Amino acid sequence: MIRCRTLNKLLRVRARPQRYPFLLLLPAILFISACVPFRMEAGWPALSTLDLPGSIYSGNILLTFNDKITMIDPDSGQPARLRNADGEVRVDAEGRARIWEYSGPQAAPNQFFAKPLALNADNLLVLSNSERLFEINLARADALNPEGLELPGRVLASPLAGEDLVYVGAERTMLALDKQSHQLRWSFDTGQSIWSRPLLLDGQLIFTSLDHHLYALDPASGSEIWRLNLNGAAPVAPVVHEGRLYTGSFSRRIFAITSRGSIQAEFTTEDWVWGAPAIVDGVLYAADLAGNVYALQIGESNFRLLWRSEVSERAIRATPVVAGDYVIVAARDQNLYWLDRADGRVYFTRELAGEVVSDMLLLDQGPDAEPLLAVSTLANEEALVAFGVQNGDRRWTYSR
Amino acid sequence: MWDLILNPFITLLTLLYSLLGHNVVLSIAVFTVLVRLAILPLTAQQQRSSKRMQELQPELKKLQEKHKNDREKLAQEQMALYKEHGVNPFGGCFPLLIQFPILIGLYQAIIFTLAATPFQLLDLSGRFLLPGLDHLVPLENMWFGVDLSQPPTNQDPTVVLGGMGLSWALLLPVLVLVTTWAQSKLTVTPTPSSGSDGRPSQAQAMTQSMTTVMPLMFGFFSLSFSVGLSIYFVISNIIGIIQYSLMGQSKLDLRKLLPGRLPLATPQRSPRQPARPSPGAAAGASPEGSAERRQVRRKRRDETGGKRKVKTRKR
Repeated sequence: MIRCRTLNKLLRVRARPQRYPFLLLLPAILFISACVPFRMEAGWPALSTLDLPGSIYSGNILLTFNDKITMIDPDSGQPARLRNADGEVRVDAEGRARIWEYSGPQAAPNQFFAKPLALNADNLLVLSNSERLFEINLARADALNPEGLELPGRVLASPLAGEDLVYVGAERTMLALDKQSHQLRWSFDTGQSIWSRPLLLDGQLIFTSLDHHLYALDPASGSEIWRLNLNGAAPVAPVVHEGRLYTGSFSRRIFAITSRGSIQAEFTTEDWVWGAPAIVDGVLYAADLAGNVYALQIGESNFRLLWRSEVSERAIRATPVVAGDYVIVAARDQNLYWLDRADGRVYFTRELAGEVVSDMLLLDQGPDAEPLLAVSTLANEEALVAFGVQNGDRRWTYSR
Repeated sequence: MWDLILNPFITLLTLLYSLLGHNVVLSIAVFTVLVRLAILPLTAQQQRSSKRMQELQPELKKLQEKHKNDREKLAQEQMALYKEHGVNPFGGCFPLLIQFPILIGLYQAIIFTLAATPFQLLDLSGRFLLPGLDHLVPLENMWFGVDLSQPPTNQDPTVVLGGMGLSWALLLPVLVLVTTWAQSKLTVTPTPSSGSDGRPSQAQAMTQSMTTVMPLMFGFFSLSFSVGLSIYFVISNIIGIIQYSLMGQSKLDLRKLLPGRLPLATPQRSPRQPARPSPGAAAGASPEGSAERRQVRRKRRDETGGKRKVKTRKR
């Protein structure tokens, strides 16, 4: 009979009770290692386009993920080349073309959640989950302040630029920073973190917080104008349509709110709402974390359900994208769904290599070309994928 | 499948949070006590089994010496001994293995409910088994100036020492280390005694290294775990010690915490030193002592005519 040496060893362990502590070590290690995945704290990608008329980089995609910001050419799906002032490609010491990529100072896995903000034609403002603010020089793709300016809290929300100030939703506080010096002008404390981008409406700075409230502040002084309890954590960025605010919360509701903070209409969903709604032609499209998509006719004082589609068994976090006759949603089940705008029926799906949790990007390719849908996944081999919006054909894939 | 454990735990923890004045640490403490109570039968079974194994140590020791050059024979004899005494050598392991998923579920529930990152909050959706708990999310994770969802190394300073701002949360890894060490020192089952050469046996050495390495590992990992989890470890260790002493399987001997005291079944004795024949001598004494006790047991069995039973020996 053939017995392998390892098996023999195991049998001997079984036979010798003195070695039981060895057997206990295994579950003990499992016990400890079971904590580890929670410490990985994976970030999720943020997609934005660089809108800087006159800049050679304008129109490129900025893919922000973990500790890197990479600029992607939307035509080819390749990293953009780093160029000098004359538009010539910069090369490294070995003569290879350099790409536009910025790496944060620490190899933290979840450093960047927020989209970079173009401060001017030369610089980007980048805020990190490690409580730092960096000013990135576009021409060199490196930080003017490599160590970063310390912030009073971690930042996950994308910032908003006002006239002289930059508004940053941070951990339990809204910060107003000077656009030039980045010094703190004022701060406003909230009970919990702010995870969504603020907006300006009727001279008010409006934002949601995980402390269940929608706030309106004076953008110049930071004093509170009004607050509204949404009865659930609100990581949802509000959107404006015809002077009204639309947002959702973990109270399983979608709200229509006046610019003075009173609720005019609400609609109950099956699960928490995290993604911001999309509004086209008077219809609001929203998804919940149970995988449902809703189309609601916006009325003066109510929402009328046009259709509800149970699309996925997993959560839909990202904001739906409305393009032509389709509503496109991305679920955590690694699928993209093209739904009929008229009745919510699923036309076709496209499978991806990883989960999609971040908002997608609709790329306008000009009046005669079909728009592209850029989707970032958590899988390295499909860090960013572009699809044609009409028939879902895959145009290019960028791998990390 | 894993959700069957995790979701009730998350629901219970959040429910406790709502009942206990939105105090996360108090909720974690009560939650830990409740889960420990739920698995009490398993813990008791494990301790009973360990105790019975401990009582067999003198005879196992004798077998080891008798068959030290024949491992196959030793194994056979040991198994025969277990069979004779109705002891399952894995009886202590199975309850422990069943406890592990429960304990893992317990601290995963803590991590989920603290929801430090967007992913953790996203994963919390749909896990509440009772309606009306949604409005409690996210739980208030600040406690005495410390963010329970962050590791101690990532806290705002709460005290200033020598001009340097430090967080009191940095004490937690030390507390985890000390309480884990104290728990293992006080509650680890004694292992077979020294070999005939007077050196510690392999099992002794293993136990010794476990009581040293495990606390160090937990203490080290606590530097990167969230503070809430470290608080859970400390509470759990303290409850473990209290539970052990209350269960009365054996007396809690605080002298074990003194330096140089190993949780051994027998005092280390040179081979030439005669065994003490007194019945109060520790388990695992010399072969002569064990033979004597065997004789007493055999006599008792003959008297009662009953089945052989391993009785709990009081220290």
